[in-house]
Amino acid sequence: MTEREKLALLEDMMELDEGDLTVDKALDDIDEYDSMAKLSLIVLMEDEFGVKLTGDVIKGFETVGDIVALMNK
Amino acid sequence: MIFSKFDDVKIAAISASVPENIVDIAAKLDDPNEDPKFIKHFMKNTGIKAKHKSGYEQTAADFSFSAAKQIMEAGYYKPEEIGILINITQTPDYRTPSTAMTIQKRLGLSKDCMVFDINLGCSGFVYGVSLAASVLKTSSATKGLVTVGDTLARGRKHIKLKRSSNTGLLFGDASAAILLEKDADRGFCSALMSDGTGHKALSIPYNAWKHPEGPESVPGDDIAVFNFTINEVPAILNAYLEKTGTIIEDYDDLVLHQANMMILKNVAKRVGMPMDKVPVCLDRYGNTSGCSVPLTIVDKYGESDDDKEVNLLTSSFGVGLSWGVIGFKMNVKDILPITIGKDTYEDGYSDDAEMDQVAEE
Repeated sequence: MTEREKLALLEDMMELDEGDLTVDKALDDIDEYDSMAKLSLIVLMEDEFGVKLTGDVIKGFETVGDIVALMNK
Repeated sequence: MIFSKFDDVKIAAISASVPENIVDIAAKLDDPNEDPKFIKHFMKNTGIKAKHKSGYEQTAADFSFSAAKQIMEAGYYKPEEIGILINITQTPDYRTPSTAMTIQKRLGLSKDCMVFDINLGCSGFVYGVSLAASVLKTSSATKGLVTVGDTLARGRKHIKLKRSSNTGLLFGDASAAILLEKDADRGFCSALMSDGTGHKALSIPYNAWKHPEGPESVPGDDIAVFNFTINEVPAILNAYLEKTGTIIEDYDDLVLHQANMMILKNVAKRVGMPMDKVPVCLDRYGNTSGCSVPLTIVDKYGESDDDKEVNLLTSSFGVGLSWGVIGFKMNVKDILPITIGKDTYEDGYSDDAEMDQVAEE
């Protein structure tokens, strides 16, 4: 899966337009990255990549790239 | 997992009672004091569009009484036949005695009856039914009542709850009643689990004995609760299926605690149940805590005139952490329609009672 495809998954999850996200974008600057989006992220990561996210891991995310780095396929 | 098999007890009737007042969350889109983006996002993610909310003149006990009275008036039991009454609530009338005592009095149940409350939240249905069935199985009692209900939307009089997150919109008020009865030809199974290491994930720690003063609510750990739910609930459902030698296709419905749509979809997906066999009532009633499973059953079948048996697989889960599964068959005609609870109870205590100061010894 390419980096763009991974970004597209996150854009789809947060109902953003294609191309809205880049890996260096700060998560704090994304209004749509709210508490419900974090729950959606847990499901996305587990279903698509087999990665279980804990609260501590999610709290440690600063940029979109931090999430993309865990999308390991 | 604590597995129980009740081979001579049946769920004989189910009812539910809700407040008359409806909170239309969709209407808040036009409220200048609300953030329409937040409201739209909340509705989309939780699936909740409306809920029922009690006024201060009623408590969860009133709706629990109404639901239990409905089953009695439908002819399913006489007051003197009830040998156990368990009331499950997080919003009791009193710190002591158990709210179940006033429900016993109001229903006119006899003294030959075990009566008590259980402090459990969203898992209340599976725990209450399992415990009542255990008592019926091992005692001289032949019929038992479980009432389960909360008024978390209503809050407490004089105390305005802050709405710091989704939580303030999430909860709806309602109660349900379940009649259990000894029956040599029927039975059902349950599976129960608890995890006290998660007690802080969902908690109201203040204003009881350990911390007598403090805020009415504290934020929960949404992520921990979500992870618990989408992992532990499918796991116990699958373990239950294996233990009972059944498969998910054997069941007409998978009735889940109505936490939010995201949780319903994920749990259903993980146990292989299509969403058209996962009834939903949270869109109109919100998250109704412990009574959400029986309320969902009543919402789906209560108005039906069918005389047919349905096989239901149910799971409740939440604060504790606490979770469980019950699978049971019952006739649709024994599922009564949802009623609007109009009952109130004048207990003689005054809301303006003087505060007695007791000197420290």
